[in-house]
Amino acid sequence: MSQPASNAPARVLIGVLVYGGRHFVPRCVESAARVSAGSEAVVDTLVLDDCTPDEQFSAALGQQCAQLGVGYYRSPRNVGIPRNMNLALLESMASRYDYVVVANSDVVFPVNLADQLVATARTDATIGSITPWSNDVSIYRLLNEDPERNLSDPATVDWISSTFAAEFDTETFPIPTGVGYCLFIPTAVVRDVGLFDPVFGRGYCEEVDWCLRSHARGYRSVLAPGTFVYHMGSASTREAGVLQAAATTVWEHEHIVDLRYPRYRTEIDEFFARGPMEAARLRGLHRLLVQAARELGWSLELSELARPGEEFDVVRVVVSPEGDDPSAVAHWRGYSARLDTPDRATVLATLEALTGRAPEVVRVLETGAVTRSVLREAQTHEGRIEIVRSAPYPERV
Amino acid sequence: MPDFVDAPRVTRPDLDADLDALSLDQALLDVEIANARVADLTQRLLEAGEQIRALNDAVEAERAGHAASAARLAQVESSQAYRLALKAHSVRTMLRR
Repeated sequence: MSQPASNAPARVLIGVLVYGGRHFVPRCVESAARVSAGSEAVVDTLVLDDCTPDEQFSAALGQQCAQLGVGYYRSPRNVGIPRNMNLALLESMASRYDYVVVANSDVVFPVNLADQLVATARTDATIGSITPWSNDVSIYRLLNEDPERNLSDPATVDWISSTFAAEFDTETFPIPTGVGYCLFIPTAVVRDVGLFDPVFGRGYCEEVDWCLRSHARGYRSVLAPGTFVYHMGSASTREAGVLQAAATTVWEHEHIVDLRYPRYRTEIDEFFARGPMEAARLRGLHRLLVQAARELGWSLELSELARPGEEFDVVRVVVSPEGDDPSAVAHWRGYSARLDTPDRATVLATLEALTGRAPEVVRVLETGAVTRSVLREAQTHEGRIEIVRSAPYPERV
Repeated sequence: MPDFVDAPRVTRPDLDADLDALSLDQALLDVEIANARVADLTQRLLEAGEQIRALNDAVEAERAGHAASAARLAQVESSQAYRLALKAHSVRTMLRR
């Protein structure tokens, strides 16, 4: 007996836009295939190669797609990003998918991408588009010191995304416009709003125009902090020659947006003034660092200065030795977060309660009231805690 | 049933042909829209040009009127009657002090 339509799994099409990029496209396609394999939703991926000049690369990419069960289409002519995105939208409607993702190829998707975003979309029928969180997502980004080194590994992307899902679930923040690096759209909304405007030529600002058009029809653009996608940033658009070397946008396209939507820049300013992103960043990073400390371990460093750490996976928690700053700062993979340690006499116990485990090591670089207190705590600690003393000179005078 | 029915839709044998058709159909629509926009913008450009010409004409007319007024004022200020009246006014002002 067939399942009733309402219980049928959602069908999602991921459209990956490609123009060159032999250094980052293969891993993007691999990650999309993992989404298909790891989702409750039915997820298909279609790679849309916009007539990459390097035919050998295209041939190799076609083979990779065939091996992974991913669709591959190479346009006979270069059509530009908006029209390439439109192919994904058109195919999603023709083949009756429920949702479509249009994404750059310089991303790594988390395995929970489809299920998280489908669940998010289902919370509110007025959601016209969802932009997942990322290290590089325009003004909503979670900046990282070295994202390619720290974040691009698929297992890390999966872990960060699942951690954010545990913190934020299907929460959303309304945003002035979605970001085209990875945009999740219900196909019902595509039918209502239409396609991306090809006036935006080879790319940039087409998603702004589309989202603002969707707002005029009563839809909302939202950010989903419960889903994290790694984004290399501008790699695919520079590869396609859309952006000049030092440019961050195409000004002619920005002018079209300004002409069509005179209030858009004001809405951006109002968004910044309301400040929802900062609170979300603090909350997300706090959860990330604490969870990393719980699962991977942490070290305590008594130092005024935050030095570059040697460990890659263990979370480094840096505490002022004098207690001038009452909080501790946790560092992990280019992200930082403040951890509250209000009582200087029980810093070690507070952090242990927060992380659920003792530190792997305590490094003493400078003496002070908090250092002495931590050492006392360590001496009376139930298990042995390794203590390493180093001289900070000549870093601090 | 063909084997590909259980495979993802996006790996169907006629994918290339289907997407070629979608791409072409959409390209033809895009051309129609682009042409309509060119016609619309050309019309607006013409109307804007007319408006600019009308405004320029109005500005020129104002300039001509202003120049005529300035010339008349200069004529009055250089006349003997005006100079005598000005002198009489200064003397009266001095006597009042």
